[in-house]
Amino acid sequence: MLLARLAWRNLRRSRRRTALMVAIVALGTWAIIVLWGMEDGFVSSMVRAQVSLDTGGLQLHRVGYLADPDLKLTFPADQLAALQARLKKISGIQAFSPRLLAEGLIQSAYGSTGVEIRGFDPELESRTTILSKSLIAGRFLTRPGQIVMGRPLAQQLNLRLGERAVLQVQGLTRPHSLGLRLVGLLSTGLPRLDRYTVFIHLQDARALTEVQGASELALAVQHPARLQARLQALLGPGIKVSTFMELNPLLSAVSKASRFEGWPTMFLLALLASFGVANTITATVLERTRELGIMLALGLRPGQLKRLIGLEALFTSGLGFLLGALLGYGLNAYLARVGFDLSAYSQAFPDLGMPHVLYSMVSVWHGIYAFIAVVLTALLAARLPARRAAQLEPTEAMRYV
Amino acid sequence: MSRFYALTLLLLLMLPWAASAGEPRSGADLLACARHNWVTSSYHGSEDLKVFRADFSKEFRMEVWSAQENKQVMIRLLAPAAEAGSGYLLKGDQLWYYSPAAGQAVPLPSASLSQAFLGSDLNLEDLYRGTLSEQYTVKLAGSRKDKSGRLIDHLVLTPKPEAPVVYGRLELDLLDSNCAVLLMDTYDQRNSLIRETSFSDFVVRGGRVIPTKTISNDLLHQGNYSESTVDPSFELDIAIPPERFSLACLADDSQCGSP
Repeated sequence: MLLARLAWRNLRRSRRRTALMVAIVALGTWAIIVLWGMEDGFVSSMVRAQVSLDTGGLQLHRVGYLADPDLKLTFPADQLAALQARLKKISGIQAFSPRLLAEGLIQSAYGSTGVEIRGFDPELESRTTILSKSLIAGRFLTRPGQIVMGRPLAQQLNLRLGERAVLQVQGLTRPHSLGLRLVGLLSTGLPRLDRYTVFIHLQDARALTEVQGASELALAVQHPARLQARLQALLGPGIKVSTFMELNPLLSAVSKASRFEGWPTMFLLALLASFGVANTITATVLERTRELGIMLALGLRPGQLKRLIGLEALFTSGLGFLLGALLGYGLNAYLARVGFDLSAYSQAFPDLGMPHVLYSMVSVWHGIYAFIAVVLTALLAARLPARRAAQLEPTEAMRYV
Repeated sequence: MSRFYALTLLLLLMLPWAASAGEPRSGADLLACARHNWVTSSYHGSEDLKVFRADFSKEFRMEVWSAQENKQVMIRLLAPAAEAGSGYLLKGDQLWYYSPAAGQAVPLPSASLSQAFLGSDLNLEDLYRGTLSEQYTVKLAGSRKDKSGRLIDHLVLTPKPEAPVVYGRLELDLLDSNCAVLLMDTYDQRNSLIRETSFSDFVVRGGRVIPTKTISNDLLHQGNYSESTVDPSFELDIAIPPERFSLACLADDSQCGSP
């Protein structure tokens, strides 16, 4: 206790030096918490957007469809009906939505462009994804004859709400055209959905493609990875059960890479903090050689002196950690609420499924990582100058100028 | 290409013409009458297409055969030299393109039918296919006399709700006496006129009144317009061998059967 009081008093005596050490540790802590929070937030934002707006947690396809998304490889109507009946009885599936996908051309009076056409039952889709919640104008699909699309695509075609667009699709046997009224504009933040996809009623998609079944079934599930194997075993080899990660290999790669990306950063920051603390304490020991010699001459044992230096390092590291954690978590909480705009990147890589705005993540683990990386490293680094102080000869030290 | 524009109209006019002399005619009657000008079992002719854009212009010459009321169409480009020999074959919903450089015919996606044909203000969908035929409701909006004292009927064609039509409406002026279409205005869904198409230089052949010159103005893009001229030597209702509408013929003129 006496040593602790002494250490605290020493720190207060040299405020500038103490402030420097606190700042170094605080900076390292802050950087780790913020960078790690952003990194985790980046991946979780993408995953959340992907699952909740687009794919659902799991998807079912006929084997071979994903490699060759041909209308001939869709679920026939009878197989789809049987599959839906089975899914209703399987625990862990919150909702599912059959979708019919096709490539086509959309035309307005002012232009045309190729799009992915996604037909679904609006009610089932709304239970499976939150696509309808990204509506920014008009209304979501309610019946056949309607079309919904992202605002950027509507702008590209110069289409306004209430106007008719024409979809053209090569069906199973011949091309089909359909005039559909634009009833709603979306802004999902996912460029692939906002710019290159149109959403229509399943009935219209069936009329355009001549397919009476569906291309895929999107499933809303709590634990995709856990349910996948069970579902695959239940449904047999003719049906492919895929997780959202498998459906987006780029997202999967980014997610895997992000797990390792943080470690070099953390190592560098830990190195920075330990060098900073060790360097400052070494300077302190040198500067206070005479004072330390007097303390030894007055009866302080070398071990106590070593502990005194260690306590000073502990106090400064602790203070720095608290300050850095406070600032780091504060910024992370703000970025988790407001987000940061990365639209330039998301538009550059539309297949990644990266939303325009990414949100940081707040996790207690970031603080624990920071504590391990910065505080413990700093304390370890302080051992060297502390040992040097403990080895001082009092008489020599008192003569040190 | 005048004939093709008229064919567009023709395909709009699929309602039966049941008007009898002396009785007031409805819009549908007038359209059916106009259609009568264009119903041919077959067609063969040479046509020029000039495409004008703000910064360039291009001219094409082509020979066209059609049969079965345009269910089968063969187009062979004759000029410019760089594109001479290439061609298009349309059979029902299927479209192929042949380029001498590639040496083979390639199927084109059906969406190509809606794209600008040879970069002009026309597309193959409008020109040849009958998908617009039952997509409009027709109304006779009024009649007037022009400077020459001819009676001009004004028709308004409004797309039916689910029709695959991106336009708001079409308005046509046609001569009451022989149902020759003089003008077709295309409006967008905001009531703005976006394209004006005029038909002129009519030729009377076998009781039909056929325009040989068509000018289409794209009002959305200043300076963009297309002009097509049909050589008056065109033939109607002639025998065209079925080989003419084959892929072998598309790639090789010697495989087209005797004329």
